[in-house]
Amino acid sequence: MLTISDVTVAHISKLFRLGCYDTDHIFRVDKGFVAQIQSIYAGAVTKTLSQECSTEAMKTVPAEFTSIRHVRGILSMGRTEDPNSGGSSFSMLLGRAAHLDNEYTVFGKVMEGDEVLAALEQVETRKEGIFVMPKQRITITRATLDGPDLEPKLSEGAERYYVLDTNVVLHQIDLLERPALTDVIVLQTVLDEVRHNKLSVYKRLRSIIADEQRRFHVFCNEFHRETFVARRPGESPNDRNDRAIRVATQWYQSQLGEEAGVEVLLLTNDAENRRLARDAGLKCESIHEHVRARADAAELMDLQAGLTAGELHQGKLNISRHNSRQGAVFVSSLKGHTSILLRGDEALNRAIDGDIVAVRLLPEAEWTDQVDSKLADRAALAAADDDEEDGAGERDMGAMPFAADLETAVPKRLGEDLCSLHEKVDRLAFSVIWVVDHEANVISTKVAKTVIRSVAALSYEQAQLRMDDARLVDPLTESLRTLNRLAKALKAKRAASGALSLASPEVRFVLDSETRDPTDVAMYNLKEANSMAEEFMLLANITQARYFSSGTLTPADYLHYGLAAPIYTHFTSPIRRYADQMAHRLLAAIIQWEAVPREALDTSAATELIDNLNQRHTLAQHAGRASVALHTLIFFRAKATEEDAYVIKVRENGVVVLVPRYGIEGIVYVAARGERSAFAYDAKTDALIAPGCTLRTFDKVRVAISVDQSRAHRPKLQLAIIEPVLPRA
Amino acid sequence: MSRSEFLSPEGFRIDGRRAGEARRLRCRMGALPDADGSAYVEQGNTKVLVSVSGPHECVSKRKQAHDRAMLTCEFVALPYATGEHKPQAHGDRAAAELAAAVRHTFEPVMQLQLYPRSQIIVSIMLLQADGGVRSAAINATTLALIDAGIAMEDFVCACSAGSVQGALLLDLTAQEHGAGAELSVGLLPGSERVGYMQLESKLPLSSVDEVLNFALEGARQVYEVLQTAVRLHADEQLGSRGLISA
Repeated sequence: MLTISDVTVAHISKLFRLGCYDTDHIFRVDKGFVAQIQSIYAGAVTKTLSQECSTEAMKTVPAEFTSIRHVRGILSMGRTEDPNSGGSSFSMLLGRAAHLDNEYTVFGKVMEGDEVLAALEQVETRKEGIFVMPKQRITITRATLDGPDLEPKLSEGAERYYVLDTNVVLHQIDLLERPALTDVIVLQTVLDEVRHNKLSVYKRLRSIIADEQRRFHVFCNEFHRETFVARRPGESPNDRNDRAIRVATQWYQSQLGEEAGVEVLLLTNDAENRRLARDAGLKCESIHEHVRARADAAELMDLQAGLTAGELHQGKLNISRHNSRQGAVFVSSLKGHTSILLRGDEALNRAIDGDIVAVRLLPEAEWTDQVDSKLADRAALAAADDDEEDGAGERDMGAMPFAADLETAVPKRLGEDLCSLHEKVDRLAFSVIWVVDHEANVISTKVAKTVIRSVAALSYEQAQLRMDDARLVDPLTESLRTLNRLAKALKAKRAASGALSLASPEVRFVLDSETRDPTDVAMYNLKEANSMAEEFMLLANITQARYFSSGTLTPADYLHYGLAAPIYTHFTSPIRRYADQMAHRLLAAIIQWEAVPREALDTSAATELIDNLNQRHTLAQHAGRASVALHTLIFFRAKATEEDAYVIKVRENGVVVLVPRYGIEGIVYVAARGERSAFAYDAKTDALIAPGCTLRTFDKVRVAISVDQSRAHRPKLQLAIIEPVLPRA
Repeated sequence: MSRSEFLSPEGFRIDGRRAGEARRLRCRMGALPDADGSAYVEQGNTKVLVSVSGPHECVSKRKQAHDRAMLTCEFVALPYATGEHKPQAHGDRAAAELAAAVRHTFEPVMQLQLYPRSQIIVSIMLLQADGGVRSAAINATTLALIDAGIAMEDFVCACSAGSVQGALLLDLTAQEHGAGAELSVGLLPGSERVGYMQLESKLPLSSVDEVLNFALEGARQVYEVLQTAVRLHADEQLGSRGLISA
């Protein structure tokens, strides 16, 4: 935009704004030359002229002549012979008038309404001296000044334009991506700086700009004559850019004029820039101040708001062990659904196993099995500070069931002697004492610190033998039988209320005493005595758990669905798991035996500690499984075996089979990698179907078990179905 | 991806021009008063000074033609013309090639048969290079030859256009030249013929037409500027000799 006659433009604009031209008239219409508007004075207008108008109209403006050609549509100031005598009369050119070039001040041009000029040319005129004048008075009913015709237009209801500083874009791009922020002017200076600093942010900014709904507009201030800023001697490029941003903001503000209620707000996180902007009379705020002051602040705050509003759900991501592109998030904030499936790279959104993520549910119509995941700022949400963990909490072994050696978590003397209830020795204990009736209904319960002396220490096997031996009627055996009867009653009650009986085959390796290589596989043999001890352990856990209250979960979530118990807490000998230690301390505090442990009062610290324990527990289980897997590999390394197996899961590309003899599970692919499969997956029946062969869950198959050693250091147990014969594509 | 964006989504190039905008072309004829003809041309930051000497006797009698003037072109780039200080090597092939290109372009346009047994020397000096050196050299040569009063059939107005990262750009700078394919054309505006054309680097055949038309459009704009310069210069000359009253 060229500014060629600033003074004249300002003067005429003011006259228009004051409405001085209302009821004035066009006194001269010279076809092919000009149509001229009369100067404003009491005789020219028919209304009463305001004091302000007459004062303004009396003013004259200096000559601002240019070589702009006087052609049809040009607005040119009238004047007397004095070049500096321009007042309020001006002409609208009706044709080319070369003799006016460089002699009269051009201040505007007819952009729209040439038909009005054409109509003027049709009026009847008379000649009077040098003037050709209309026979009838042509009155101007109203002359107004439109508001500044600023592009971009402010959206409906918006009160301000935002101008962003580079630091806001670089650090608050997530915020800018929220749809609540609109009507933003993005300066070229900012774009360039962002591009040079961080291309990824630049691309994100570009895609916001491309979204028309967002109303982000680019202003190429560097290429604009009035907003270009040259670097001053000694000025750093950063300072120059800041100045360029301020100048552009100022320019926008000046374009708006004094229009009521509309402002240009500079958002910058740079305190110095803010200070300089305020000095220059600009409105500016830091992004933090601004967001906090906004009514819709919650919408702008990142994930936290979504979580609070229930739009997003937070949970820990577990990547499927069979498919790295699929995972599930366990959330507690969602009623009825605790596990949300994420399928595909897009839904996973770069999250990896163990991440704390926020997920947004897809519309219910799309609830086949997909949800959209939004990767939370891991640092913010998973603020796990491992250093502060209790050392023991970190070392928690989760009772790793290694196949070969036992790793102990506490000193041997403590673990194997003092904390073991040896026969006929006094031992300190924490006891739950029940009074029960014949149907095993608990009549009263007492939890206490006790000193106990065991009558006998029996292995499960010994206990079982005693119970089974009808000849034995000593008090010890009888009491065992009573306990067993009660345990059965308890189990029946649990089963009646819907407890699950989860039994996966657990295998034990028989190791060669010399080489420690497995020579055979045996199943753990579970006896009634096992079940008996288990039942009372459960009862103890359920009983003492009633004492606890949780600060992080609702009572509805206390339910242990596998055991069908309304409440459950792990509570066994504290030498194995740190969690048990915690439970013991809490319980002791509850029965007012000792003071409440400090760490138990801090909800977040406790949650963190428990999360760590859970993680350790999971790791321990994985380690246990890995240990079994390792021994399985060693076992099968030397001998390829054929065994009966059952299909336990059907997938699109194969089936998961279970070999009960060895307790191993594995996937058998129906087609080699890259090969076309002869099988088609039928989701309705959950079956893989090929001509002449169908694989369904629970189908019995015969599999060949071998160890694939083709990849060095990565041996893999390989299962292949040999019966039925699988067709190949 | 390159960090440079040769045409922003707003439609601006790095130097603030739009795609179809040529750089400011400033020219001054008779820049060297002692030369038979001379012109100084600035095309953005590319600055070229051309001096014409002749027609005069052939320096080398052996090469003179009995029916026409011999046209000799030489091109020198000053050591500081580009960013790095680089003295022009003796027998610089690029320089020789450019000089030959100018000679081949102008030979058919100049009425050399009017000056038998004589020689006309065109010396092109590149003061500063920022893309479009060939175009600037050709434009400056046109003006210098006119200044020297040598009979010509037409102007030769040169401009370049190119395709840079898929964007069609007019009058490429050195930076833009480095990133894409550039086509320079010399237009004979009177006869609407193309007197010179050179394509540097590869361009898909399908887009040659497009780029060529773009460059020709630029050359027409150049013609307007050169014509105005010649008129002004002629007015001045006539005025200074008292042939017309100012």
